[in-house]
Amino acid sequence: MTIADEQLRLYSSPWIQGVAESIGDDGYLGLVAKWFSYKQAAWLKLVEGGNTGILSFALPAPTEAGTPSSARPAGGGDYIDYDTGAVINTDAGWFSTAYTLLQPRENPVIHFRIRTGTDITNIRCWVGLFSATPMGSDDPAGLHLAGLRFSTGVPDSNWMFCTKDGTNLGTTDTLIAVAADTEYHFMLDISDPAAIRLGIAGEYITHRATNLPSTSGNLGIVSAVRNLAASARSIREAQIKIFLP
Amino acid sequence: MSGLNADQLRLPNVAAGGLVARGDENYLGIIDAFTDRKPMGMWMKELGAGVGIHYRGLPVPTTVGTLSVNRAAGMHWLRFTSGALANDLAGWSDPNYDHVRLDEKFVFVTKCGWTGALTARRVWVGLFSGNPMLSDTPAVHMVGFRFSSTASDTNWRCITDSGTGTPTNLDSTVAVAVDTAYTLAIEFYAGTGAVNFLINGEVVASTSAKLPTSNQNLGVVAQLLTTTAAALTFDISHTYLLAI
Repeated sequence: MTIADEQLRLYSSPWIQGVAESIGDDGYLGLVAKWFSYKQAAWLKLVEGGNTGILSFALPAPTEAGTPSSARPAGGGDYIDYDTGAVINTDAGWFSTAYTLLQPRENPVIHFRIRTGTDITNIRCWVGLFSATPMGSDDPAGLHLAGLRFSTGVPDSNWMFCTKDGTNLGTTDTLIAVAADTEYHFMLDISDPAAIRLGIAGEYITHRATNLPSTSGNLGIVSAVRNLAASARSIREAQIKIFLP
Repeated sequence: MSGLNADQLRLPNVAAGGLVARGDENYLGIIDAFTDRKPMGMWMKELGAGVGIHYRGLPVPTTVGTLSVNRAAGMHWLRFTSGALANDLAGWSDPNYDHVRLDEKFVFVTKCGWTGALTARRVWVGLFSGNPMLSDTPAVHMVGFRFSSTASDTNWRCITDSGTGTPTNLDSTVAVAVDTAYTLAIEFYAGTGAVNFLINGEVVASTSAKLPTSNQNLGVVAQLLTTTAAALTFDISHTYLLAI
């Protein structure tokens, strides 16, 4: 959808209700959500070409896994590229230092903007909320989680929307294929902990209402890749934003 | 300007760059229309199990009381617990009372609440030229919300004063309850000449009487004072202050 100067559009989708964008002479002028009644938090890649710094906004800094470098691929984007190195079963990406950031009953909405690496063979990728690191398994034992999985070990060909209640993993095929060197924008909307909704690229995709994480359990953020073969793989991190009532 | 329904938009002063949106769940925000606008100042509980305060665009707040985390029932708030003597404090405030002036159009928001009985407390939330906590009618410049058991308040009161000690005192008609979150907002646009008080996104009072002198420095206060010798809690999610 193209927006001309000075136009205002109002989203009506229930999962981004109340969000208004204005576009004017100076370009993109602002995004106003429910900012005044909502807390906001974020991890943001600093905007500067060769910089691999992270702005941690109202939450503890992430634990970084892998070797970071600045990535500004052709076609746009400004990321931190995290490289696993060539040792098998090595992780790369962002992890909560403590898995106590959020609880589903706190009704968070989380936006992730990542880019896949140039080689997506022999990898396991998890992006979302987890009660502990999920990287060691496609169905991590005992975890509570809500997030996206792409694992060649299953094998997955599309992003899989997963939830787990500590015992049973539930999966929903998003039908969104995973491609190499491609940016993805995910949104997990837990406004209703009984129906966790997923958006991809600004479109509502699906929701899950079974095998959900405990409403009062602590969760942390993971956005990471693991190499399942003895060669380097990567994930590119741009930003993770959290809105909390 | 009262009477907006949910999800309506208004353009209060487009020439000055103000565009305000309101909706179902409160005050939705301001869209900056000019790039020379200050970023939003904020004090906010950091996410997670810690008691860290994220501050941006404002000085570090002065905190009083013992800090802990309240994550009961879906809250994600800082809890300030006062001492157990009369006139003990809980909450946060501007160390210098110089955040903003009325001649700098602004929107102030604080989301707060508490648990326990409603007796024996005085709460001030708003913008003040000095410490208001020891009186229901402090002789300071202010635009603020008050809930005071010594004044027999049952609803949030909307107070303005220009340093006289005899303030304008308006009834918000919004009852104060325990275990309830309130998003308290105060907005001022010079073009209207009136301060608007909003609770949970709805305008509850508006006045142009006894406003602070336009160039009077004001600072944020969101505090509770004990009026008897018993400890009380005051929970705060965040304070935002957007000035032009």
